[in-house]
Amino acid sequence: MQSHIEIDAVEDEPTGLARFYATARRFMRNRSFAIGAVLFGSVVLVTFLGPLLTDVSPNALSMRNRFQPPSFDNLLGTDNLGRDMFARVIYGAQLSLMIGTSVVILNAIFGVMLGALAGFYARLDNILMRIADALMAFPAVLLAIGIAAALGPSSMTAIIALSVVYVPRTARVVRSSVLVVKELDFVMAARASGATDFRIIMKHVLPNSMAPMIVQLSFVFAYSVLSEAVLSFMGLGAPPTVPSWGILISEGRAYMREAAWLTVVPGVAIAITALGLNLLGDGLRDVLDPRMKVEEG
Amino acid sequence: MSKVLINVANLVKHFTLATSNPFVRDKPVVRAVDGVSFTVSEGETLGLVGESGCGKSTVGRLILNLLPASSGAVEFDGHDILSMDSAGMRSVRKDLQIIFQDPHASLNPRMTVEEIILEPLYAQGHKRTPELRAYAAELLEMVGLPARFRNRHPHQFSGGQRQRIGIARAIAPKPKLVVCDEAVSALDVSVQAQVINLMQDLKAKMGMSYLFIGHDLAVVRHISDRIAVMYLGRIVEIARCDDLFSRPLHPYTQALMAAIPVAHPRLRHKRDRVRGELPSPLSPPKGCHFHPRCPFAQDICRSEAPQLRQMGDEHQASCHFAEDLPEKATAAQ
Amino acid sequence: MSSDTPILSIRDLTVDFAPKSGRLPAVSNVSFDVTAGEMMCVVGESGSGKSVTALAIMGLLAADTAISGNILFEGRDITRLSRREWQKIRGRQIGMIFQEPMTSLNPVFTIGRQLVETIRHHERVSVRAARDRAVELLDMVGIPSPRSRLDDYPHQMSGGMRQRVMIAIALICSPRLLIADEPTTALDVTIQGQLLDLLNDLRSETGTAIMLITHNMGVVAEVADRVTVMYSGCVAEQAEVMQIFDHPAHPYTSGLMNCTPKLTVTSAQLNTIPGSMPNPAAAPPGCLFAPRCELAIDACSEGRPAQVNLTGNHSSACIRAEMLLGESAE
Repeated sequence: MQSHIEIDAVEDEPTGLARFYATARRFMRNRSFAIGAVLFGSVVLVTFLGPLLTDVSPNALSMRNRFQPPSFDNLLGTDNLGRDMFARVIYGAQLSLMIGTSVVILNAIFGVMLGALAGFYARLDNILMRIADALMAFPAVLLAIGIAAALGPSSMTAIIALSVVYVPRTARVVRSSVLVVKELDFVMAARASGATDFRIIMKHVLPNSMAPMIVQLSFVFAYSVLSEAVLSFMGLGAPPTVPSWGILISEGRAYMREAAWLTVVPGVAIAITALGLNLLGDGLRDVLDPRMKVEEG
Repeated sequence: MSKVLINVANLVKHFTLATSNPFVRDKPVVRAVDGVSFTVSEGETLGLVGESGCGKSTVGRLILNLLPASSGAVEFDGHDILSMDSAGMRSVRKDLQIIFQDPHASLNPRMTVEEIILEPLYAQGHKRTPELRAYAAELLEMVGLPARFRNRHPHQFSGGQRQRIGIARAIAPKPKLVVCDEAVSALDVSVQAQVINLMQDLKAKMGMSYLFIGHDLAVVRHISDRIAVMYLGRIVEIARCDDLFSRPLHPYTQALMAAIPVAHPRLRHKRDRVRGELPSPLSPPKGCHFHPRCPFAQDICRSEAPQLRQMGDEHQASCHFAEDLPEKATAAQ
Repeated sequence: MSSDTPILSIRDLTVDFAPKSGRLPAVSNVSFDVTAGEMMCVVGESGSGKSVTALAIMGLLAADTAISGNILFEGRDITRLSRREWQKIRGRQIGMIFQEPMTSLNPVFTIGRQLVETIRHHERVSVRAARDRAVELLDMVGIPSPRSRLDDYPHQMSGGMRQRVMIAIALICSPRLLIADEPTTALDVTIQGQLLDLLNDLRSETGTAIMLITHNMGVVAEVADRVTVMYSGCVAEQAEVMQIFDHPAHPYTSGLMNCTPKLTVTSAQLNTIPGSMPNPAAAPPGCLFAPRCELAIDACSEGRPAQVNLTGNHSSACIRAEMLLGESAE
């Protein structure tokens, strides 16, 4: 059945500031976007305001206060060397988020580029996708550990290793939606108008392949934060003087029974970040789709 | 007679089907377009009719160079389209536009109406200027949509309105030839009539030519000056509109006309329907492609493929018995 | 068989997918009859509610759809039936064929197997007997060398052949009523003609009543006995086919006929109906067709017009119907 809104009944699109407010309202009306934005926004806020929220250094030892459970003095307790967990989680966020963001950016560049090329050019498809298959044949964490082990422990290593792991996965997702979109009539129309391949990919194909890509990138971020924890846990990430969430879990693991908060606190931080990002990704996918405007209005 | 705008000569397109069996050496070949020739003059509308799978849409894509042809020649406005490099082709494209069947798939859902309409101009290297934006508004008015809709997205429009947007996009670069690929087939009858009228008005205003591809003879007749009838990759008859309808010289053309539903229940009559269905293009019948369904088929039809022959002023048909056909048809009735 | 007893009788059928939204229902207050052995055509454009009506008769609408009114099949109100009782009627006494012959058959089974299974689902017969019956049915719907086609998969058949198979499946239980929803729309013209002939022949041979849903006035002119014209979920006009074509009493009916391109008429401009179907979320107050109607007067926007009974079986939902009728009679 055909349904469409009666054009005359709708006000013309607003412009300028009004348009910005309208857009913002539209974004926040999407529940998953709103919740995701609040969750992830608070993580980012805490990360950057971290040094203002606590005057305790994350590495300040205090042997008298070892294994203190959460209290007013130490909001989230202390670890085996008496270091304040609140400070350590906040400072650790910087590293975890930095790695996650870097991996997402690299994925957005290389994964999307390779996926678009493979999907658009049948000739490149075979080569690129066989390489991707080969990389994806390894279990993700194992491959990351292998690469990180070969390059030596550093945060740069973690970023490179995680990118090598996730770029083929992103490329696959992008490729499959490009394959569908490039057959649509409007792509044919653009080609018939003399648009270059570059223009067709950038203006017509990619914007319409965005939905799965956004969701995939939000996954990549969440996975990177988690996997960085695994790498750090194995001693292949950042050197242990800088606390990352992974390292915190790794260090706390030995005292699970006596001081559960040492692992629970960074674990919950990772969970909140991952959840926030997934919701944000889902919401973004829907909000950026112009077709969704009608359903609400 | 006015100048020939596009001359299509012996156009052939074979699709090789991919088989999963690597040991099969001769992969099946579909002869989607099998030696098609026609011309379209300036300001003329040529209708191209046929049933699904006859290759009419492929012809449209081939002359726009959206698909590589297997062989043949297309001369458009002095350019040999099939041998052009991509840069040369790009500059010709502004003169050659296309309107698609499906108004839901042919507009980029992420773009605003203005962006969609001006896309052919941007693709040709024009910059977004106030003049160009004013031109977009003018185009919208020309296709019967208020200019204030220009910031809307396609999903906010009905099928007929979207098709108008598709038409605005096609005429934006002031093309010389527009290929209309089943441009009104997906629309409701009441909307279809509006769009057909619009297309005729625009043609009168802008003086372009149409290649109007369709399957509904009544619609194609309404808009065309001449009609080419295709069957299984070949043109079987081509003639001026009224000539084709008053004196169809190919049994398939007759069958197509006989299949059109009557306009009034009083005109109902028992008729001899054409038998059978379109054969598989993978293994077309030998000789005349139509012979298994033809009521007048003889031995020669099964062995020899008839050529298009001149049967009068601007009237060509490819039937061995084209001369006798009008008598035979009346005798059969 | 008494030809004037309705086999199917629909009274005030209203189907609303979102009752609380204030949107126009998909079908509102539709009433019509199908008498035994007749070919009733329901005509309308997309969004007219014609397919929804068919799905409602078959009980194929989602469970949370608000349906009111009565659907009487052979005198029994099937909307009051339990799911199981309804299922007994569906397929046995009412058969349905759909527009899309490509997707209505299961691609992984041969058509023989699909026929045989359906036959054995309804009747206790051996596989061999069921196969014989399948061959008989395929022969009846005009499939050449039916026995050899039993082992074909749907993809090996053309669209027209598949639609014939669908008709054969619908005929298994010799239904009293066959609902055909745009059965020829997806097919080529030459095949469309063949199928219409087939439906017509089946009706005269088996006495099955057919409710044919279409958007094409040509199809109506070709096969209909009686016509129901639908617009925006409402019945605009009902009459015998000759009456509809000779004396249309609703402006939408005549508009629909006039804007269909015809082979016999070649004028420069086609007649059109301006505008498009009303938006269900913002329907006009009075007659739903009024905003597109050339004959609309002020009274047209005051309340939905009721069905006016004209001569005989002719009724129209236009307040100016009598005037229109008078005009065309002159």
